[in-house]
Amino acid sequence: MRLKLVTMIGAVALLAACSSSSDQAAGTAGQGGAGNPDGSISRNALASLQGELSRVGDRVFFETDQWTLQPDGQRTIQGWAQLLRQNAGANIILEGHADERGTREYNIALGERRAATTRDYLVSLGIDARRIRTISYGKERPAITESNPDGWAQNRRSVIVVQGLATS
Amino acid sequence: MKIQATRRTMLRGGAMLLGGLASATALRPAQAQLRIDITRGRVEPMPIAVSPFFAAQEGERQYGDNIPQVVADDLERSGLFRPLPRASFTQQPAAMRNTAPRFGDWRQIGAQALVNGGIEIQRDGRVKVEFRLWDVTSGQQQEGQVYTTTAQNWRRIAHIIADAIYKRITGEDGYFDTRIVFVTESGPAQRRIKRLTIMDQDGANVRYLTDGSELVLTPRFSPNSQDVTYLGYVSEQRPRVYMMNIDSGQRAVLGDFQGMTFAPRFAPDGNRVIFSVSENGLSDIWTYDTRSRARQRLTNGPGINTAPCFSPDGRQVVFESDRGGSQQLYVMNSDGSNARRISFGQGRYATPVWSPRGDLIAFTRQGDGGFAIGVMRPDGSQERLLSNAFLAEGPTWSPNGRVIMFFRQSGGGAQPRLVSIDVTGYNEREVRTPGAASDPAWSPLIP
Amino acid sequence: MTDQELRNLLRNIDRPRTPPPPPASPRQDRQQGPARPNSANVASNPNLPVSRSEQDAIREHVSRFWNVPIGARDAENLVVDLRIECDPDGTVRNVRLENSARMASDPMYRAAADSAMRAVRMASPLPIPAGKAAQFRDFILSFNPRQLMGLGG
Repeated sequence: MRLKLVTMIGAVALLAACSSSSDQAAGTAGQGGAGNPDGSISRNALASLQGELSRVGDRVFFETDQWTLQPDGQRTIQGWAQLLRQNAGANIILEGHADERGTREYNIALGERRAATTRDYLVSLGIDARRIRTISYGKERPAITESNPDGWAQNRRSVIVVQGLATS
Repeated sequence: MKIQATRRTMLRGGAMLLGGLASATALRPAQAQLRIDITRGRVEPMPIAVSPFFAAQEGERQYGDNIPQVVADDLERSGLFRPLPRASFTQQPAAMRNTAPRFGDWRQIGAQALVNGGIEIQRDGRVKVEFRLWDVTSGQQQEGQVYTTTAQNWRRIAHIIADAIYKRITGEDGYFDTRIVFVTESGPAQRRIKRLTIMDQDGANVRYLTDGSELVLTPRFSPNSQDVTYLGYVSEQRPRVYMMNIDSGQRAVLGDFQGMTFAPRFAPDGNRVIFSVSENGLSDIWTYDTRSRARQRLTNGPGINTAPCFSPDGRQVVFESDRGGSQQLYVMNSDGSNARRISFGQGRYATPVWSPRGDLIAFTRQGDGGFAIGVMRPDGSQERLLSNAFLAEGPTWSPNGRVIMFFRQSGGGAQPRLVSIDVTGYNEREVRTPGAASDPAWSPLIP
Repeated sequence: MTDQELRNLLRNIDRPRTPPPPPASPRQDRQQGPARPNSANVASNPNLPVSRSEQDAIREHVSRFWNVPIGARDAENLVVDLRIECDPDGTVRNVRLENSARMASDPMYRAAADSAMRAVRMASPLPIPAGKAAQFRDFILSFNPRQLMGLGG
């Protein structure tokens, strides 16, 4: 038993190394880091980009158990695309979230689907897929704690976060 | 393995008491024998007296008091026994030390079964515990065992004794010498702190496996109870399935997948873990062999396929999928073939978990503005809902397939709690935890 | 009891029902049991049939002492036949299990048999009808949990 575990840990260390090198090969920015993926954009610039994204709206919303974008969501994402074109050095994370009215694992899958739909639309607007990472939080990180239809509507969302800035 | 209990059956002490009832029977002659069918009965806990165990020395008395108390508490929580109050006992432990109990006295207080025993601290400091189970109506000894263990293991001995009593009287394996792994929750909902936590089935011996700095979800035991697999969010990496050794705390990512991995559960063979892999928003089910690192894809779209769980014989997998338009339960062969839908009731079905007996699948059903925990046969028939709430989710089975544990939130913003319920739908009760708790998983019987 | 009622022993919150009333404890049952004819004093006639209602009285009486092992696996295989010898006053003199070989090999069966034997011992004396002691000197009580447990059947 002990022997088996040690073997497994060894194997995993190897895999982790492979995985990060393949991330590099795919062109995404390093995990975390201080935010100068290609050296052309400063942390201040990233913060200012996040501020501008917040002004156009840093999130889009979904219907219950749905992952298709609404027209106003599409307009918001068009605004993101414009800002990302102006800040070509910035990479982003798209978070997918669900409301509390679903089971944990399904909501993680649903959040991933919302993030993926959002990414696909950004890519269709000409943003390089390699600049985008997605992450699903399912129902783990609600924006609003009120347990009512208004609160749930605000929690069914995708959120854009500039990579290299502390995420919530 | 930590416990070095010697289990040997004691001499059957009750043999002589049989005499009165086992007298020779004169066979009746030819005439058609009268036969009366009893098809009704009572469904209520069995009254049982768990006497303090005899302890001659001062240092032994705490065990003489505490071990039977833990035994009685285990039996009581099962809902199948009603331990009688000690204050009602009229025969002292010492009076039963070298002789059979006075069964008339125990019948007098309504006991149908009696447990007594003795404690002896040996010269090497180890504790010797013996117990006997008596059928009070016949005066026969039904069970008798001696265990020797280190002093700090006394609770395990108590659970092992409770398991032996449970098994002798119900015929089913017990589930008291088991542990629960779950998630302890604290802090505001937007920045919830979650810690992997393990405790004995009765809430004792709580230990935290993670420190709360990382989000952890859905822990599940390996078949040998030594490891847990769970979903972890580590720094800024994508969420992935991890495996952790409980004793050493060492952990490892399972598999080298491009996308997020989640919803893990061990296969009955203990080598493979089954989970979902998400790519481009679609989630499919894979198995990953922790020894050979071989991986096998079992579903290939469309949509979300998750929450997989093997049947106890390893031949089938139950999972949830929205391939038909809404979240429903499906069963497929363990190679991914022949997937067929088994849930057809109102609402959405999720988190299917195969009973260790193989006879039922527990699930979460969502609809009518709430959640419910239910069971159905593996073919989808005989669906029954056992409990409902604002949120009720994530059933897990006791290793004997008799009790289901899940977590529940009574309303919006309420703290989640662990709840257990008998598979018959009775005996629902909250499980003692140090704080808000979710995502329980029941261990097999500890080896 | 209809099949539906039997199945209802398993709780289903989809189909609300009031839980069965808590039965009285055995001691109370014993004290408040139905008045029995003093059969010991009546001459026994072995040719008189035991009527349906007389059987029902015994069924009824024993049922109150039988703690059904509900939820057991393979309930359909847990029918327990007990051979009972009764004194003329209804006192159970001997209880024997018809299929005792299974006790050793099948823990579920052993538990079911024990529960049936406990029921008979606690139910003694049985309300056997006056003048029919001969028919109860050696008879069978068959404990059948099959219908009681939706899980096994």
